[in-house]
Amino acid sequence: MQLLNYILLSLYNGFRIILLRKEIMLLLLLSAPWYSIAQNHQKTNILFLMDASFSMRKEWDGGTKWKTAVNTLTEIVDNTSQIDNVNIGLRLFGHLYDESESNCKDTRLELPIGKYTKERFANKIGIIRPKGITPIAYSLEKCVADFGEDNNAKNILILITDGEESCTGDPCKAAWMLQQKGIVLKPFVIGMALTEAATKNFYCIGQTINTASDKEFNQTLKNMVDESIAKTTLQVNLVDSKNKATETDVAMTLYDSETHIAKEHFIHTLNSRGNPDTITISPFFNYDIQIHTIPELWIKNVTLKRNIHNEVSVDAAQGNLAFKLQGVLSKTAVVDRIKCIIHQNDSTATVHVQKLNTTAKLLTGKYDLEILTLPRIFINNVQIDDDKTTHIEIPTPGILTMNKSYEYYGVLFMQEKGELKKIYDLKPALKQETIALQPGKYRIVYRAKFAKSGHNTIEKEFEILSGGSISLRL
Amino acid sequence: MKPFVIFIFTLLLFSNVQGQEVRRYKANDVRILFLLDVSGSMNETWNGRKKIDVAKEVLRDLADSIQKKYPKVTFGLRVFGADFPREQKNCKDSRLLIPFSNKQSDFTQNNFSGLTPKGMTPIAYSLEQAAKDFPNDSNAVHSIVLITDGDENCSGDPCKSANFLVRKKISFRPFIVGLGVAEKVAKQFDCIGQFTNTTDDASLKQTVGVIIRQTMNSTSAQVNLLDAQGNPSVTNIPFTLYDSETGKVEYNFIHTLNAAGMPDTLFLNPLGMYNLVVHTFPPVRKNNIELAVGIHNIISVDVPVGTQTTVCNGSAITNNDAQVVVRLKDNSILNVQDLNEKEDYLANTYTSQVLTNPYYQKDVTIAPFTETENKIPGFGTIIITSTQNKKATVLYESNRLWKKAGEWSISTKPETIKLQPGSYRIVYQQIGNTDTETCKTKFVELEEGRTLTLTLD
Repeated sequence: MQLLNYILLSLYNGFRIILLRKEIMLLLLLSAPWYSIAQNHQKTNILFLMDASFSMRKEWDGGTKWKTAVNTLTEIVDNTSQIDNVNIGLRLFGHLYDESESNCKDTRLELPIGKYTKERFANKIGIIRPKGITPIAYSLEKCVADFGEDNNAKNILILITDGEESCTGDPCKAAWMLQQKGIVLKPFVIGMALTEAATKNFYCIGQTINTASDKEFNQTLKNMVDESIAKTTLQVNLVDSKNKATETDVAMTLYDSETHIAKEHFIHTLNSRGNPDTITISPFFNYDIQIHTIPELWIKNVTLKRNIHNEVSVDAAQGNLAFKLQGVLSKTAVVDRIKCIIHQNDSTATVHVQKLNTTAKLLTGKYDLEILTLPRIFINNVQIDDDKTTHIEIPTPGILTMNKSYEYYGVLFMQEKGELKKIYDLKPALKQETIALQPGKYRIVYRAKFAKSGHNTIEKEFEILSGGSISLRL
Repeated sequence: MKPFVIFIFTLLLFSNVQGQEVRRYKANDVRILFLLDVSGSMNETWNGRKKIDVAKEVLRDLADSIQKKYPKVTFGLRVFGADFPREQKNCKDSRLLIPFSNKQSDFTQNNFSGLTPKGMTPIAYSLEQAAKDFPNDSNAVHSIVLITDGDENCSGDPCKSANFLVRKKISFRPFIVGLGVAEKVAKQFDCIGQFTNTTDDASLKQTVGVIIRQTMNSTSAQVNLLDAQGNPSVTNIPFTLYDSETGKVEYNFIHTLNAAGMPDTLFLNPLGMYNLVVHTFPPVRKNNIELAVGIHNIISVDVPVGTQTTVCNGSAITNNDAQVVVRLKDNSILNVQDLNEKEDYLANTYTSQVLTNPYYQKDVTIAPFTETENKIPGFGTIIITSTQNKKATVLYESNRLWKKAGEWSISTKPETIKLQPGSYRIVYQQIGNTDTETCKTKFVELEEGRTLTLTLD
């Protein structure tokens, strides 16, 4: 719908405008009375940045633009005053100095963000007469301070104007700076009979809708406020192999698809009926949803329909990988070193590093394992099935202790395909070395550090039994 | 039952294992087989005498004098072209005239005086036949001296035959002594072995004499592990010599420099061919190495190693279970190295993966004879408790993306989590809660060596 508006506006002509109006009407008919929308946990701050330049006095649909704007705002203030957690603020520009004075700093926060009655709002705005110029960029910059420091609040800026920047400022740059502050989530621009060119110029600020009549303006602005405080919900279905949304208990991160900034982190839960629980979420973004499974899953570019319940699904069938020894080994220092590096089959990227005697939850599929024993154990094509545990048990290593009379250079070999394969370099500085070796036959080759002939090299063969200990005096 | 068995095994295994020094090769016996050309052309006169007569005389004199002095040296004589006239083109005209024996009388008696040159020159066939003339004795030095005035004129391939003798450890690569052989012909002998041309009886006698003495000398070798400048300065690296024919391990050495700082001299069995593997990461190989008998052989291999160290400093930091996985281009694991441990690698680009949480991964280019250091910070510690049972997922920031560092169950018992410095989000929820929106997030900036205590509310 929003996208459609954009397209329609960019093809701006009379016929399209009629279509656009129909769309808006349709939307209003579909949604419940806009002020009765379910309340949100989150605080919503709406700041209206309104044009009070001389041109707002222009006649429009039997009244003036200014009158149309004031009436609509008063109505909105009245209705939102009944909704908890929704606050309103008003900043005007072009209302303090005459047009002839060309004051480019003519802006003031007239109503700080808070709760106002219809009367209070009407009293405040009733004494204001539009008269000045249009310093949009400068006013946008000033809005930063108008929103509080509340990081959890949803901050909405709605710019109401009938014309273009009349000072040297760059509204695009000002809007960009607002975004950088991390305060304003998404500004809206509502135009009052703007030219096509002027409308396009506001695209950089935020979603821009131009209106052609009093009635259209009234409905569009209400609709914008409606969007801002509407309850839009999202349900993420993590689907198992039987196509049921039973997978849960995993963290998720929601990113803004455009800026790639993380907006929300959740732990996926099932509600009391066993269905994926519903999250209330701002509908202004397209989301990239990251599910922190192993490996992680992404649902990219999720567009939410405003004010209704949205569902997305992703295959997230998972099983367990239990990694342990066939026997018991008491040396924790040794156990800690035996890690299992997990790759997806046919991929070089490490998806997980699993410690010994732990169980990891993995997406179903085939994995290749590299187990950091000495020598290393490689197990390929390990199948993880939905809701099942795949057990990987490796032989318990034996412990080799080398007691050295001198400092030695040396190496441990094992025979592999008829060749000697180096599996460990002795550490010359250590008088005693203890390492864990998998069961098998080994050859140690070493030479005293001070020896001057290679013929002083000594070679020994030994066998390591599972769970056994062997001591070598070098 | 079972614990008892394990106990016995343990007892057995605690006994020390015996080892032996690498044996120094010393030849017991030296056997030299003369392979004498008795083809028709040997009838030609050479400085006034028949070639065959000069050859017979030289062999008789040398064999006689050496066998008297050195009883461990014995000689044999095989002749070719001696029995069938050239017209018959007999390419199997080759016969062992005097077998090896310790009888000193064999060469002194005129038992090869009756030889008359007449036939073909079947060198390849004769070399093949020579294989059977030597006894099977791996502790001996076996040499062949081919004395000829021309090249193969049967269809055999003498090079192939010579290679066979070497590979099978039957003898050394033959020495070839030419009797006034033309330069063009001489070239054909290059692939068989070391060729020396002679011009008269004096030079023939001297040449054969030198060959015999060289064969009697001990053979030695040194392995030069060359640095980037081509100097043999690299050392202390293990290397293995395999028999290139059988693939059997013949010697394992830790490379050593002698007192003068040069690669030390090794006494190796000179028979056969070796495949050398220098156990660097990854190994360097040099195949089909042949030693020349009776001299000092230098085997050179380029070993452009550089060191890599992943350094993790800091006082309260004991990352002792964080290994460094070094991978080759194809992602296979080349080595797993400890933190702060120096390790040699051949100059190349490797992927280094440090198994901290979260892990670090980067490409490391190691230049020869350069020490490459990667620094990683030490971990920080987060201690988490909660009055209620919570499930928590710890996420970390990496290029604006959030990745999972792990999941923990949190209770009143403090959970100690060691993590690398960085930005973390702890997303948590009460166990059993069905409302996703009750999920909370804590923001943590973790610094090296710091301990943060968090209570999840």
